[in-house]
Amino acid sequence: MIPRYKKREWGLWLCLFAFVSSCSVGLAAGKVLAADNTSAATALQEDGDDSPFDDEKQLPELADPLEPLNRLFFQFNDRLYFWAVKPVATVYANILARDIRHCINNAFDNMSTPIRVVNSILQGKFHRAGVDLARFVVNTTGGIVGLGDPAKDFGLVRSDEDFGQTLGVYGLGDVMYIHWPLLGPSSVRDIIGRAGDSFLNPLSYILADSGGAGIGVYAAGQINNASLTLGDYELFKKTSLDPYSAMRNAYHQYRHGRIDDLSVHDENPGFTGIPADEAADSLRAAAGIYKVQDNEVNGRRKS
Amino acid sequence: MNRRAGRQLLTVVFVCFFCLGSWRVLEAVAGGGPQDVMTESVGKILDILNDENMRKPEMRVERRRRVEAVVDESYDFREMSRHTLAGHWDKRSAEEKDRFVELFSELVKSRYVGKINHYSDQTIRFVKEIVRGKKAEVRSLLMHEGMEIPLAYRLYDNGDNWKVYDMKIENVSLAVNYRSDFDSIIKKEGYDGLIVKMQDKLQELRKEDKEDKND
Repeated sequence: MIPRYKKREWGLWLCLFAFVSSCSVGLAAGKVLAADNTSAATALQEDGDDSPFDDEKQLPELADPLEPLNRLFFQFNDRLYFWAVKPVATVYANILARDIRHCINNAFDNMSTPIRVVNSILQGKFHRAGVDLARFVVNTTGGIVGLGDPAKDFGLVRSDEDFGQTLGVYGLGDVMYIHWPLLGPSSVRDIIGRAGDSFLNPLSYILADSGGAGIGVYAAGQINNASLTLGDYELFKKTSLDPYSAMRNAYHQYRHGRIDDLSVHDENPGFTGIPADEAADSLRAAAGIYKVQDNEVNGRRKS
Repeated sequence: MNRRAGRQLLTVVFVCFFCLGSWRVLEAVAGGGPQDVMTESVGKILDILNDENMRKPEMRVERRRRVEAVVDESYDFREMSRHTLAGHWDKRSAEEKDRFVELFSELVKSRYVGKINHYSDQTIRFVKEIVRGKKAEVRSLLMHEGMEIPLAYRLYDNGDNWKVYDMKIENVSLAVNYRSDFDSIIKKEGYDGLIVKMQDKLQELRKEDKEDKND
């Protein structure tokens, strides 16, 4: 659904647009390049194809010349998870209630808003940037330094942009897959992306000022995150025959989905936001292309 | 992949099968088709899950058997297998194909449907249905842990019914993911090596299910 523009958002939109209007031309060129490089033709776009089998997503292949080394690091991360991260996260999860851990997660998320805003702008997604800025304002104030997420109730949905995606939109390919110790799956493009984003993350500055505190905060964030997703990795390993390849492929598909904005949230690239509850506040976006009436069923059937 | 992607992909992929718990009337699309198939399938599964009788510990096996039966109705594992083996499929004999379909569907079901015993409150909202000829994609949002996870089902019309042949979570297609997984094994150990690995994995899963006393 496409959010309807409100006056407040128009103001924000115009300011941002005025500031970076010269970038749009470059971005348009970048998108053309990206379309050539990362074409993702799906069966639904192929007309007249009767065979349900010929339904390949034409992902550019992900080179993995460092596979032996990557597999080593994958094993390292695997051990690290079971020997260190999981035990600590389990204890942590027993101490802190889930809701509190979600709040902490929200706070970390809120802190990384500059990354999303700047990269949305760089990709020409001004409306999205505006939404993320509005989220930051609402969540920092009403949400108490980001612990809560009241913005969601207003229909302001979080985007998920980063510099790696920006580089992808501009036409830079993955180059090759790298599985880092600690950081996990990544690529040459995405690690450049992470480096770029680190300038926009307040955590990096804490780290620079006082290494100990910085590492402490970062580690706490990671443990908190892990505590909310305990069991995921185990399930993943159980359901794949070769977890390394499965993870590499999942990462590849996911990143390209993000770059191309192929997600159920996105009707068109550049737009986002599924309105929340119909009864939400005035900031709620209105329905756009599709009008959906649903009867939601919460685990039980309503007749 | 970042943590969010990890959460989404890994936590809820098993939920796809049975947490399709919502109706919706999509004004832009007249009539159902793929959507109706999903709705009906889900309705049946929910009925089984919510049946007081079925919740008893001793009914665990029967409950799982019934859910698998419903899943078998709307999912086409043969088609899913074809997509997963991709280029390798045509090279296999008829018996090999049958064997693969048998193993693959058990692999997928045993873990994903097995998780049904830990079913908890979920909400799914369908947001879009795209039909192009004999192919369709039904998009939904799964509300999980306060997040909205985009979940898409791909169906095809086999003449009589619409059947699911792939699922995508945040654009990560299950069939393509398994394809990559199996491909890497076929390259190193050949097709027979893959079958051996699948059998071993299934044995492992079956053993775990027996040991899993957490109903």
